[in-house]
Amino acid sequence: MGFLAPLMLIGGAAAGIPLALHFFYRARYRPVPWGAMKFLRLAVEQTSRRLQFQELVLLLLRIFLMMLLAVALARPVTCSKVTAGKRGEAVDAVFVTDLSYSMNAREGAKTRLDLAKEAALKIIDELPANSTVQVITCTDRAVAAGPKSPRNLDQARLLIKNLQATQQSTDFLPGLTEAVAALGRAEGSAKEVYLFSDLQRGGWERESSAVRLKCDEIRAQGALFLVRCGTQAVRNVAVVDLKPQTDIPHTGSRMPFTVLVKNTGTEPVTGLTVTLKVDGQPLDKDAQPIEKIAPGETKPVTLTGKIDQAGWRVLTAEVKPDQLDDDNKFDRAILVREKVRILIVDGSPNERDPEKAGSYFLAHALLPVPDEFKFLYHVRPTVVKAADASPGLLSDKEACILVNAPLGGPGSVPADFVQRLGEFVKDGHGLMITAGPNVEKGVYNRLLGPGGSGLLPMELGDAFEAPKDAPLFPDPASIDEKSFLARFRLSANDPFLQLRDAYVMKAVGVVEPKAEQLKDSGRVLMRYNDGRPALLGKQGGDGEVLFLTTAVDKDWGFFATNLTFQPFVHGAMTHLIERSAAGFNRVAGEPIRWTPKDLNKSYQVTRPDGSRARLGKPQGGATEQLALTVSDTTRAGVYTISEEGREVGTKFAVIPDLRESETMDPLPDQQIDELLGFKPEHLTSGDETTTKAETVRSRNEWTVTALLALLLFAVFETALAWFCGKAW
Amino acid sequence: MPSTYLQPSVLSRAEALGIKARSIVEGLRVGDHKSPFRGFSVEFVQHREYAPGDDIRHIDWKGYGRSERYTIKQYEQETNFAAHILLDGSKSMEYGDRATNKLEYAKLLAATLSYVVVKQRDSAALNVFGADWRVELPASSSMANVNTILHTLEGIVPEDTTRIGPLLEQLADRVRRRGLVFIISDMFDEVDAVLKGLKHLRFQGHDVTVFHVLHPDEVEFPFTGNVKFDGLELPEEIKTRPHLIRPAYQRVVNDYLKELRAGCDAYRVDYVRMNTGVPIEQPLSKYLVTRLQMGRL
Repeated sequence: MGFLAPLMLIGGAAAGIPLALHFFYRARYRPVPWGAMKFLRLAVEQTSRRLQFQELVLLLLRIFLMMLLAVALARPVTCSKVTAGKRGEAVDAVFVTDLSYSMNAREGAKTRLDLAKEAALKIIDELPANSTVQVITCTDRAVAAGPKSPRNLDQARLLIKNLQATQQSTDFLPGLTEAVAALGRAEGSAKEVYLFSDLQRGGWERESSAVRLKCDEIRAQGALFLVRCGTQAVRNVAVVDLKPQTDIPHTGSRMPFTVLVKNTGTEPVTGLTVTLKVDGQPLDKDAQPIEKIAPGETKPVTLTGKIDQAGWRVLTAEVKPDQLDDDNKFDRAILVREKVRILIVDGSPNERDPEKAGSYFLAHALLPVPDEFKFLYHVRPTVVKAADASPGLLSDKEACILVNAPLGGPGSVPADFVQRLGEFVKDGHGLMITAGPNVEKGVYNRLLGPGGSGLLPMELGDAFEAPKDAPLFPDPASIDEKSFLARFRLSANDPFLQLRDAYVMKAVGVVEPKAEQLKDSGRVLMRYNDGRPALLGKQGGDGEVLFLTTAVDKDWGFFATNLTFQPFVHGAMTHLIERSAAGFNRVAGEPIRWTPKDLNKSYQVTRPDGSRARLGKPQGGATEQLALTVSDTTRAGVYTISEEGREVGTKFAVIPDLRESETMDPLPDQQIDELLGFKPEHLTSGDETTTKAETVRSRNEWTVTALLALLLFAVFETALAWFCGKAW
Repeated sequence: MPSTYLQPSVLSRAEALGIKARSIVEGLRVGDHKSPFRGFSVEFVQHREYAPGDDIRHIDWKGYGRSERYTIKQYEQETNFAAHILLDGSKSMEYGDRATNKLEYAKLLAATLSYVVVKQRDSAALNVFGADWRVELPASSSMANVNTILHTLEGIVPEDTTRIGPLLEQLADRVRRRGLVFIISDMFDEVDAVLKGLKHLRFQGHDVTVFHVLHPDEVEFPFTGNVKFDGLELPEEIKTRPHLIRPAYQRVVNDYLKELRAGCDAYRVDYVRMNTGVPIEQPLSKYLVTRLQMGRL
């Protein structure tokens, strides 16, 4: 409990007036000569105790009335802290404005951010005199945006009007944390926090426990208002991925690219068109229609095109505008190569019968062209025997495949090569390991497991065989929709993608880690139909390792001879090699860090909106490589880092944080209350916003209640005084 | 004899009704009132057969005409009485303004009673008391005595406290001959003492009437505001807000009146409440009529 005008409490001293009157006031009596004194005496004796009690009750009541009057005039409020309250009923308001890209969703002619701004400006206009405003912008991180002087409401208004949404996702925790800090800086006793947002699920659920605690902290200091900006369901289709389909980007031939489109809204969308551009220019066959996509459905779309020049290129997939434009475009930077060199280390070569060699089907899958065209093909696999593998062979390779390679014993892969493999992967290259008879679990676990180079995704177990009448096959349903194998799951009718036909008779077992070991472990990318892992993956530095638990020869099954093998191999290689482009592809909010070749020059960055910022020379610490850093990547699009004064430079693609599109449905008020464990003040942007805020403000103030109580007690005192004959 | 205490309207009514002794009293002369002695006096009692030697003036000739028998009428011998008028002259009788002053009212009553008694050739005596007897005028049936009574009444001022009970007992011991006793007082004394005195008087055979004179204020207690009540008889004061204690006061007074009345009824003492706000002839007439009716029963 606090007071807006605490000085008025001094008036409580007036409670002494009835007390003083009671003891010192001498009433005037009219003298009457009287004969029947004995009757009078008896009557007085009979009534004296009752009269004294009535007098005492009246006295106490009058003292209480005086004190209640003082309390009412001091304007009591329900807030936890009573401060000096020098500013009377002034309010210290903190505005947390959600700038995630869902706020750009259009509802009618306005976006949700427009509605948020309108509501915020209205609230500022209706704040009591001497109030302050602090503005905090919030996405998955928070920034105290100002104003410099919280009392400068004009500055606050300008700030709010100039707010722009980002392409980042929502997490309310940073914004609420910053709001708590802002409340701590406020001087007054009446504190209010306003969260202007579409209140989508993602913002609440990402760190729900911590959000709840922060809201409790806010409630302990003041009032929490949730201003819902936007109430309509949004029709939205998002481009959630774009990647080369089964081929490593190269020049000279048409390449397929997979664009994943997802309906994140609540209504089906029909008549979509997906387009693809390279460096802003449309590709041939650049548009692909999607007849209908249901709510929650993800559809892959294949677009092909030919890129003639090698080097870094930016692909852009786009769908036509809907109610939310921010996730309609997806940029991806790719390195287009003229040749892709892959080293295959064969642990079971067979010069006499090449078909029995472990690398036979693999090499053919990587070079699926007639011999006369192999030289022209963009993939250049190099096959070496295990014992012949040397570190120098990796110098010009994009990826390496260990095929049934022994790591110990005669004919095994040399130790320096194994060691070099660790650096190879860490530098951003790819490694794929396939199983076979030469893959001994003990040796592999020791040399490539956590105690060795750490390349092995999981601990290997014993090999096992499937019954002849019930062979294993990779289960498409076990594939994550977001993995590079997604098309095997999503394309049900393509004969080249029917994994169920790729029978496996034998495979290496895997010891899947317990929950506490998951952090340092790899993950299962695909399982057999019996649930055992078929393909494992693990990130190592900037690169990645894939482990296939079966062999790619005919001894362990028909995986390598199935139609799906070639797209599988190409997809795996594409995936591994494309990881090197990770640094060139960021999510909004992630910094871009890049080391140019010339460290002595100054550089600049050109943002997607065309604005430029100077970066200077590459910087770095004692143990850190010199690099250029672009921190402000709140907007999605293409960022170009170039030498100062030059237009052309290295391109980087920043995509929206698509977590926002995944959890766009707003959380209803009731669920928010359940999550928080209390009921904050729910407002909706519109005409009622300020009215309700004022209502809540006055509800927190108990002056009227105190005055009503005073009136009630005064009436009661009057009635009692009249009854007792002691009316003033 | 002009006097402020002899009001024609009161006298005429009282005279017409007269004051009859309800119980058998002793008197010196042959008057209107019953005597315990029988003889040939005015009031017929019964017939008896004529015996030679009886006074033929008392033969009931009408009866002879009816029965052709000679019968003699027998009469009760009627005597006069002495009325002792006891007037309370204590300070408490001072209450009231001129029109409703208790003492003036009591004086008026005393004067009226004395006049009526003497007019019907009975004797009237006046005794004024407070804490003790202040004035004692002997009984006399002459009009000059009435003048003396009137003159005495005019000179009486309220003073002293009230001590009725013992004084009544003194009177009872002193006055041996049965007569009428009229007590005119506000009776502001202990009920038990008063009743004891009344009982003593009744034991001596007196026909006692209590005229309880009260001011309306003393019964209704209509005061408001802050009032300091100053005792008239004793130096005491009570400050109060009368409206706060009014119900209790009225209860106390009513209880007292009930007790006094009950006591009077028990001892067959006539009790007449005299409200000084009501003209005296009303209660007095009512009283006299009641006595008349009781006397014929």
